[in-house]
Amino acid sequence: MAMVLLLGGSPAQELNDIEFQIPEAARAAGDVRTETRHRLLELIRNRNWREASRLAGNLKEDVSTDPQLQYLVGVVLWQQGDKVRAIQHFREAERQGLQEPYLHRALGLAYYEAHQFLLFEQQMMRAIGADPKDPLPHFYLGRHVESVKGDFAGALRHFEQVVALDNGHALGHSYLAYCLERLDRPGAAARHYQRSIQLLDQNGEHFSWPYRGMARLALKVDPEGATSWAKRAVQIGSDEFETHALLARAHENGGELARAVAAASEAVRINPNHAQSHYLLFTALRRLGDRDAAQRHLARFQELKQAYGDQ
Amino acid sequence: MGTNSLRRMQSTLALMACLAAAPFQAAAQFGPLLDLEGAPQATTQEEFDAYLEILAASDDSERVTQVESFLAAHPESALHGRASVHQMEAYKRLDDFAGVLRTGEQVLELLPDNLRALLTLASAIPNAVQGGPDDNAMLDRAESYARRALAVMEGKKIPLSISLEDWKLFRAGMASEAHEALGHIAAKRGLIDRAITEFEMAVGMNPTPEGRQFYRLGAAYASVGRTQDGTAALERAVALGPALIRRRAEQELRTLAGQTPAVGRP
Repeated sequence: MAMVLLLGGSPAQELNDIEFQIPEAARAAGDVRTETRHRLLELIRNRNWREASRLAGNLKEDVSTDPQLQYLVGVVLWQQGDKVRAIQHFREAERQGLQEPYLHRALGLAYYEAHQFLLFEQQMMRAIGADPKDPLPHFYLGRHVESVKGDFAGALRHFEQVVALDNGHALGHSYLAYCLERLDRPGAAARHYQRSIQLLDQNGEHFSWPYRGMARLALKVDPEGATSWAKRAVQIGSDEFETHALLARAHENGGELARAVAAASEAVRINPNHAQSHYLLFTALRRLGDRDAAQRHLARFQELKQAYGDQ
Repeated sequence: MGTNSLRRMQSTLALMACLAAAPFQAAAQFGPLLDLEGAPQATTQEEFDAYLEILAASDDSERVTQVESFLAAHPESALHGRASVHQMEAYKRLDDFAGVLRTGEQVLELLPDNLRALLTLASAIPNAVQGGPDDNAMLDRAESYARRALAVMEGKKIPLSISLEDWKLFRAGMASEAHEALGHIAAKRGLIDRAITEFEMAVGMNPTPEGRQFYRLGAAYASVGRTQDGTAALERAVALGPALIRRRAEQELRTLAGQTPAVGRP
């Protein structure tokens, strides 16, 4: 579903860039609002939400005419869980003339959480307009188009834009590869998954997605290779049910039923609602002769299908 | 992409995981917008601003007014049905039965399977039945809403972000509410045995025991002379409260021996 798959940043995290965007003239003037902005920004950076909230709560008049303060108060409210008022503050910042990419990205993501996808798209287009070299809005749009609309060709264009703007964007390569995989272009998909893995390795970052992709691509043509990639995915994402579910499929494909059962059991331990792993457990346990356990997993699979449909 | 980007992604993943784990918490903020039927789309920021004003209203009277303003300014809005749900719930909290009935039925014209409207109407209508000429027709309507609610929740497909266990609890709570309404309707019709059956189902399936349901069950038992069962249920109602229910249950307990208590209210 929509909420689950949007990756790449949150409004609060966007603040990493904000200090450089405060106008120099305002800084030099040393006015009270600039000081307040810096204090609030510092508290946000340090994730001192209690103090940030207290400061934001005392601003009232200062906030009313300062769009950057409106934005920062919105971020604090967002972190405090007051999402309605957070959006209202972001909007007020926009009305007062703040047209920075970080505001459009934050407001877009906030709309996204409220499932207002048209408004989300509008904000990301404005972010692109404000900074055409920023790959992030393209990345968010790609994730949206791929995960919510299921339009892999449309998403592909966004991810191509991401890596054109920043060829070192490991996630961009990962999701570009995923779209290619879904569009039945395995060779190109493998190249971008490999590129993503290379970038992740270079940066010492851990992200299981491209390893999972490589495992899926190998499932039909190279069972041993699939198992090997799936094991690497599990090493990186040991707390992700998807990696264990994929390893289970790879083992099952290679005829290693007991191992498939162990991996699928781990997948449903992490996510008891993973229907495919229950079905795999049903088939594998039945073949291993444990009919009672197999039936329990079949019953759970049917219950999940009834509740969730074919999602 | 540097470590910042990955950190951002991980942070967002954590945020999304929190959201997925607490879908009803999110629903509490955006209200009917994030209910299980999915979200209609605002086409302009101004339209969504006006919708947020409804959510941000400081009290229910203001909320009713905000909904009126929203509907006047955006008559073609896809959020119309959701806004009316807010208005219906505000009227309910204001004890404005006419408002609940009017807005609840407006919601059902736009969103025929809206569970909040179905359950609210099914529960509210019997309370307003006071021996008038339209009583039977009103109770028939209430019963049809309760039964439709049960049918809708039975066939409902849920998003993957909600765990099956959470959904079962949520559905049990709603089904309990529907059976309570059916019990109340039966009691109003003088069908006490049927009322008892429905109240027993309501009490039995509710994951969060409610004093009001025990009070109704206790009063129904008492009215057919099942003193021991009535006492036990009323004592649960006293223990669970809230204050109004506690007072009424205590009163029923005091009169249980010699008088026939009223069934069904509040």
